[in-house]
Parts: sequence; structure tokens; C-alpha cells
Amino acid sequence: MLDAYLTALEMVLAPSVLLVIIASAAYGLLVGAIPGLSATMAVALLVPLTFFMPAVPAVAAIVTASSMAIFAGDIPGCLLRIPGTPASAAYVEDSYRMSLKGEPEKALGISLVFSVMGGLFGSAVLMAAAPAIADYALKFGAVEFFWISLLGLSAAVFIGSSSPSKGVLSLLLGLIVAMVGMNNPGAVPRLTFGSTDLMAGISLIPVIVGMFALSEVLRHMISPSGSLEIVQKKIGGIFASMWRLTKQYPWQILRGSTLGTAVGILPGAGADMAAWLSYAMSKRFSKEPEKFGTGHPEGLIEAGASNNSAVSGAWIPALVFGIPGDSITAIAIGVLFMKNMNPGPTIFLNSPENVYALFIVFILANLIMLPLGWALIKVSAKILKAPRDLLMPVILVLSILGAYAINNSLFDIWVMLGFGVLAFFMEENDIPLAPAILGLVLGPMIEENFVNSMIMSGGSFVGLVDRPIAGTLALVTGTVILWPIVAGLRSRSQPA
Amino acid sequence: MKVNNLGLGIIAAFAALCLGIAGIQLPNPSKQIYGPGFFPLLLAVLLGVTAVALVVEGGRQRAAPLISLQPWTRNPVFLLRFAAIPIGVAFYVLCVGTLGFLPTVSVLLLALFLSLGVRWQLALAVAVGAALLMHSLFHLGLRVQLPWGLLEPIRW
Repeated sequence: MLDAYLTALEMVLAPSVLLVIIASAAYGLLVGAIPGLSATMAVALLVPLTFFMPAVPAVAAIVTASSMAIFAGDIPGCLLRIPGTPASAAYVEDSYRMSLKGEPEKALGISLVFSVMGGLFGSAVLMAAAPAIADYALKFGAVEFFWISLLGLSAAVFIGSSSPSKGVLSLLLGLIVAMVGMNNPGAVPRLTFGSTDLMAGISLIPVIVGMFALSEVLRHMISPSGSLEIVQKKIGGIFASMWRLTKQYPWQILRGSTLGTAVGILPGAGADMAAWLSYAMSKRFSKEPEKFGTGHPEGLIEAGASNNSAVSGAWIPALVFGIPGDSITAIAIGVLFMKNMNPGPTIFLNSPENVYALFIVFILANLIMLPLGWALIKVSAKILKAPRDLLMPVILVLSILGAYAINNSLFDIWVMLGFGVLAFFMEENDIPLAPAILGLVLGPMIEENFVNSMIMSGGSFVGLVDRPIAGTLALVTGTVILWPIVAGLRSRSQPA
Repeated sequence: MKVNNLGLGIIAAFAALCLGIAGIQLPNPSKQIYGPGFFPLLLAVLLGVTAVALVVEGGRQRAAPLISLQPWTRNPVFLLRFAAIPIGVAFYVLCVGTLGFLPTVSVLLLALFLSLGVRWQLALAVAVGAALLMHSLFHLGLRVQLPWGLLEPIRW
């Protein structure tokens, strides 16, 4: 293992890879800091570029940009009361009020320092847990992978969205789109409507770019333009009180990082949910809950550590089982497949140095977040004033180019447009987007594993549950699916 | 446009029906028990169940109209700006081969900037500058084939 780590370190420290890491860090910080541009959008627009890179810099670019964007989303929240990314929304009130009190440097310092701590904690768990789980998962066959994929899908729907039926609708949409093309048990054209463009299926990247980038552009077009009022332009030293806060709130940091990593591991529940849960937990166990929402640092520290640790946590199921923890890792899995680093337990046998390089990138990305984040905070007033009326049309052209560049196909641009408009209307109707992406990524895996399991069992469904691990996974999946239904029926039967 | 759960349920039921029919009609050349039509049929059933759940939920929210238009749809400026995106993408796909990447993107960006109220001098400068920059990145840097169109005689 040590040899593999040394090889990995050599790969990451290559000048070209370091350059990619620094450029993606700057890009992630910029996109995350501009209100209205999400971390997922930052990653979606980066994917077409990674197509032209070798495996390690490609994955390094995704990891670095997503970690940076999640942190940078705190800056507009603090100075404008507009969360840069949904993951910053949970504690925006506290950080903004801290700025109003004349302490923007303290709020921004907390966001930066405790994001780094959470990120490093999550990375350490990823490094320790992923190889161990993968070692165990080597015993898994097609049946177990079928259940794991199904568990991933059901957890995504029932944990990650407020309305289960709308979550299921989104998931089914993703699964239906995944069925298009000739990649099926009979290798016949399926749902292609006679189009030769659809024979190879619908490419993941135009769908992702459309759903996460074009839909943001559409949303901007219907928003009133106007200048943003920044609370305070002069920002002092940001590290001044951080050591004191670390000593004052050690449990909150640990609890936020632990919960964030755990939530990140759950499919469909990414950094956004981690931040909300940690903020709620912080308030629940706080000695001063009444101060939450008034510019109190406690919830900010715990939730800030939590959302960045979730970014690393989400990579555990993504690497070991190919199941995305959130929409960012769903995109990243697409990149891993594109680079022949097929996720699954065998990734640790086939290309251990690439996986260890990924771990090192996580650590590196979190470490360089300190100086780069500090620099970003110093110039944040200028970045926040970036004219979005100039930016959004450029993002539209980048989306067109991103969709086109993968296959040099104009058809993919129509796909991108179609899914962008669809995502816009889905969000207008509170239908979550993440389950659709999970369905699109996991759909082929579920069908393939199901058909293989059925061939092995001679068509009998008993073959899906007659092995101990498969039986346990079936039980857990059944519980995850049935529990919200049973809970809903019970609450309805109780008198009001 | 906001559609209530009843409306979403009706749309889902119609989609389930179409998917089910498509699934049944799929050939199974290798005569497998679970052939290419199995998953479409399974998803059609699940979509049907979801449609029923949505219709039941929609029946409870009687106050919500079947379809309601959001405030932005009543503002002609927002409607035009929204329509500018699909029209712009269609313009790119249909014209890039003839006009070439640089002229098409410059015109597209200029039109969008102006629709968003950007001053025309700034809009023109940024449109041409951004088109050149993206051309350099994708065509020269990443070797993506972008058509030259009208600029073919002076390609570099």
C-alpha cells in the first residue's frame, strides 16, 4: 500500500496536475462565491474539460472545484444574505447578522477555518473507510450489487426530498432516460423513436449540463436585474479569533464533521442536508439556543464543518459501490467511467494508485483552501459585484460547447436544451433534480445486475434473497422504502 | 408554470401508459425471461403507482388550481428573455455550420446581453472578446472541431 501511495503522491505532485488543482480551486472559489451559481453547476461545466485530461487530473479537478465551491458559497451569504450555494443556506442568518454587527472577518474566518477542518476530517474517514468497505465488498456478486443500487435509489428518494412522490417521479424519469438506446438485454433499439442519434443512448454530460447549468441561466432570465448591496467592504484579519473558537467549541466541530461525513455517505443526502441537520443538532444541544439566528458562531461552526465533510463522505459509496452520495458525486461517477476508473470494490485492485491519488487530492484541496480562501475573502467585495447579466449568456455558450465537445454532436446540444427546460419546470414544481441524475447513473447498473442475477438463479426471485448479505440488503432496502409509508399512515390514523 | 399534484398525476399516468405500450411492443430476439421490454414495463407500473399517489395527494389540495401561471409569465419582458434562450440555442445549432463559430457566438451573446439591458458598446466588446476566448480554449486548446464558416478564408 505504501508503494501505491508513493506512486500516487508522485502523480499528484506532477506540475501539470498541480496546475489543474490550482486552476480548478480558483474556478470553484469564483463560481461558488457568485450568488446563483451552485457548486453542482461549477462541476457540471467542468466535466467537458475533464474529458480531455488523463484520469488523475480529471478527478482532481472535480474534487477540488466542488470542495472550494461549497466553502465559497458562504461568502455571499455572509456579506449579502444570499447563500452562494444551497449548502450555505442553513446558517446564512447567523453569518449575515455577524457581519451586520461589524464582524464580517469573524464570520468569514469561521466559514474558512472550520470548512477546512470538516473537509480534512471527512477526507481522513474516506481514506480509512473506503478501502476497508471495498475489501468486504469484494465478496459481493450481481445480486448484492442489485440490492445496493436499489438501496441507493430508494434512500435518495425517501431521505433527500420533501415530497416522496415527487422524488419518485424524478427518479423514474432518470431511469426511463437511462433505458434509451441499444444497451439492453436484447441489444434492440429501445425508446429511440427511430432516431439513429438515440441508438447509443442519451449521453450523461449534456443532460447534466442542461439540468444544472442551463436551468440556472433560464432562472436568471426571469429574475429582475439589480445591483447587490454589500454589508461592509473593508474586511480585517480573519484568523484572529479562530484558535479561541476552536478551544471553545471542540465538540461542535467534531459532531458537525462526524454527522456531515455520515450524511454525505447516505445516497441523495449531500452537503445541503448535512448543513441543515448539523445546524439543527447544534441548536438542540446548545446551552444558548436562543442566540441562534442572531449572529452566534456555534451553529455556523458546526454546520460549516459539516457541509465540507459531507463532500468527502459522499465519495465513499461512490468509489466502493458506484452509488453517488449526491448530485456532485453522480457527475463524478460519470467522469470515473469516462476515464476507465470504473467505480466498485475492484477499483482498489485495478488502479489503487489512482484511488490513493484521489485521497491525496482531497487533503491537498482542503489545505490550499486556507491561503486561496483567504485571498478570495480579501477580494470578495469585487467578485460579488461580478455582473451576472454578462456572466449568464457566457455560461449559456459554455453549456452549448460542453454538451457538443464530448461527441462533436449537434444533437447533444438539443438534448442539453431539452433537459435544461425540463429541469427549470421541475424546479418550478418542487420536483427535485438529484434523484433523476441518480436514476440515470444507476439505471443501467440495476438492469444489468438484475438480469445477471436472474440468469444465475434460473429466473427465480428466491435467488435475489437466498444469500445472507443479499437477504440483509433486501431487508434494509424494504425497510427504507416501507418505513416512510408506514410512518405516514400511522400519523394519519392518530387523532389531531 | 405550476401544475398541482393532480395535474402531475394525470401527466404521469399518460406517460406510464405510453411507456407500458412501448415496453410490450419491444421484440425479445433471444427469448430471455427478462428481455429488453421487462424494465420499461416495470417502470411503467411504478410510474402508474406514483401517478395514483399524486392524484390522491392532488385531490386533498383542492385549493390549488390544476395549472397556475407564475407572476413572471405575465411580464412580457421576462417572457421574451426566457424565450431568448431556446431561440438562441436553436440559432446556434442551425447557423453555426454556415456562419461559423465566431460570428454565431458573437451575434448570440450580443443579442442576449442587449436583452438583459447591457450597454451596447460593452455588450459588443464582451461578445466578441468572449467568443474569441472560448474559441481559443476549445478549438485551439482542446482541439474540439468548431466550424469556421464565413471566416474559412482567414482561419488560423
